[in-house]
Amino acid sequence: MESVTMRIQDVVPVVPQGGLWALDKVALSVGNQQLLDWCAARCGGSRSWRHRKWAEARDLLALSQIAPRFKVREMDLRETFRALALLRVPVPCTPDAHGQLRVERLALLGITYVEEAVYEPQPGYGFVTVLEPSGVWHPNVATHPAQAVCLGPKLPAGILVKELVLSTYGALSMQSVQMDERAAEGVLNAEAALWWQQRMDLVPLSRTPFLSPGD
Amino acid sequence: MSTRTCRARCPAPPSLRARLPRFVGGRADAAAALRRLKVALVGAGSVGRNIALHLARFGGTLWLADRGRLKPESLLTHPLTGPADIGEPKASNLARALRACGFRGQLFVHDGPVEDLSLAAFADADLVVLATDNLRTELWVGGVCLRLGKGLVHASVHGETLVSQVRFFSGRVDAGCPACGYTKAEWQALADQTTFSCSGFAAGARRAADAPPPTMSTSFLCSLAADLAMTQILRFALGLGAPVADTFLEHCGYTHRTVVAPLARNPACPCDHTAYRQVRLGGQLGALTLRELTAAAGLGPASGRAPLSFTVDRFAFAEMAGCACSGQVPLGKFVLAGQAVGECPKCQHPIVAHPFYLHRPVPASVVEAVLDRPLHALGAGAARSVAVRGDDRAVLLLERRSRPEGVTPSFRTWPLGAK
Repeated sequence: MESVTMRIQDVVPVVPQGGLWALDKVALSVGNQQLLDWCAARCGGSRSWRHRKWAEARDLLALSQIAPRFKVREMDLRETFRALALLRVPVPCTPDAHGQLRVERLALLGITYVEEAVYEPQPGYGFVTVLEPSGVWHPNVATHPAQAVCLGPKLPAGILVKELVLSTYGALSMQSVQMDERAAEGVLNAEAALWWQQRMDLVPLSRTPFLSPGD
Repeated sequence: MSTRTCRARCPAPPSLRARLPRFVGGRADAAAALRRLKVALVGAGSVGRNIALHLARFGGTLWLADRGRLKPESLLTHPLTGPADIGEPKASNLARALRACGFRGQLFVHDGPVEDLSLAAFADADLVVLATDNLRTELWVGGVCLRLGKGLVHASVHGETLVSQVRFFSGRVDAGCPACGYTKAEWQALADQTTFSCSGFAAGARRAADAPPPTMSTSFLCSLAADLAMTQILRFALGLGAPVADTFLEHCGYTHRTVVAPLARNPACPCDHTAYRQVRLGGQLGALTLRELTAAAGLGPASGRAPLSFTVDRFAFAEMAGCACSGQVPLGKFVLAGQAVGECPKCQHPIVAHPFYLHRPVPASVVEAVLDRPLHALGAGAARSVAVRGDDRAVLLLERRSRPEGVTPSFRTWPLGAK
């Protein structure tokens, strides 16, 4: 995976009336429309699955237009829905030798959405992985190499991809975090959970809402 | 009657003809037709065991699958069980009981989640019978039957209202599946029944620890549901009366009324209703390349640009693996969930398939570079089935001769005299 060099500019988003539930009202930019058309031409699976993937892809691209912190880099609708996306969010990384937490400002996310997720609940760790940066130090993110993000014990059937993105933002910025290392659900890095329990003053890493242009 | 008592009382089985009547409007060779019947039974509980016992008396071929073990409470509703059977896997215990009662037909058993099996495991069955309250299993088996075009008989009870139900799905692509009839309450029940643990992540699988509630019923209501199911199976196998395919049959013990209604496809059903044409090949699939398999499926020529995808048994194609020292490293082979995929060439630490780069099904464009390598060279030599899917057609490739259990779970043979 090439290194993340893309910068996400701070621009004032044009949020449609109805907010995140009115993404279908957002007219796609020429570039995004071309990306959607390119992916749709290669979209595979049953008719209903193709339609669902197209709708999710369109929503994700629309989201990227109204949320300056989010950018879709690649999408793949051939079978499982896949997207590579950049998210500007504080990402806690392994503390240095002095116990100082390193916080990166950008995450490269790998988002996958299997067909069964349309009608069956899926595990919270089944959708999003942090591809970069490496060494994420978070109770709900598995240690390297997979760095899967656990978004909850069980995610409901038919959950929308945009909801996964919002949940991931909440999780990485630690606005929403499960830290009880004894809980069977949610904690994928018990060592980090114990570390964070001693440093609750650092939580959350950001209080900025997802759609806000600032950090 | 426990297994051991039964074994003592049941010597060699008599001929089915000795008691089989000449059914009105039925064929003369009914006994032979029933003996040829090959049925896969999913669920060896209070309803399923009754069905299995009846099917065994036909003398045909049976596959039994159940993930559960017998509990003390099972003795209240499960026929052919006794205190000595508690703790045994349900499917194996039932197989032993059937053999003890003189069943001499071919018998195959799977003690585990039926979702672990591949499509190939059901390819030889004429009919699949579902006798479980597990909605996730119901969905999965419904999908298998649609893909393979197999009839599916689903028997169930509702103890509180003394209701027994039998749904008979034809398996035709334009017909319904179990999910087609789900109400909001059933979708919610599916959500409620499904739980996950983070240990599933460690195992590299999206394994659900389903927790369906136990069947609250009486033993005789369960056997009534089984008897109704058997009546439908008999009518289907021998073509008796009006066609039973795509019908719903319900008997209510409070009113003794029986309702029969058609089952239709729900156009809004979220499940995939694609049917797979089956093609059987000589030799082992593992020796063939994906390009050869595509040609055998009649969907060729294969290329990275072709709108094709492959589902190789229970394998997923791992495009990349992850390592702590260097992030993602190319892998390019088929792997099973949780399987170790080797060592990092740099640091020699174990590497794991990266979930974002795991493909099942795998698009042809992802495997373009390895289209001409045999499956065994790609880690999938044990594959017993390969599904090749194009734009509007899908083909399931199977081996002509079935193989014993390998690295992927499958039914195991339960021979005569097995303990």
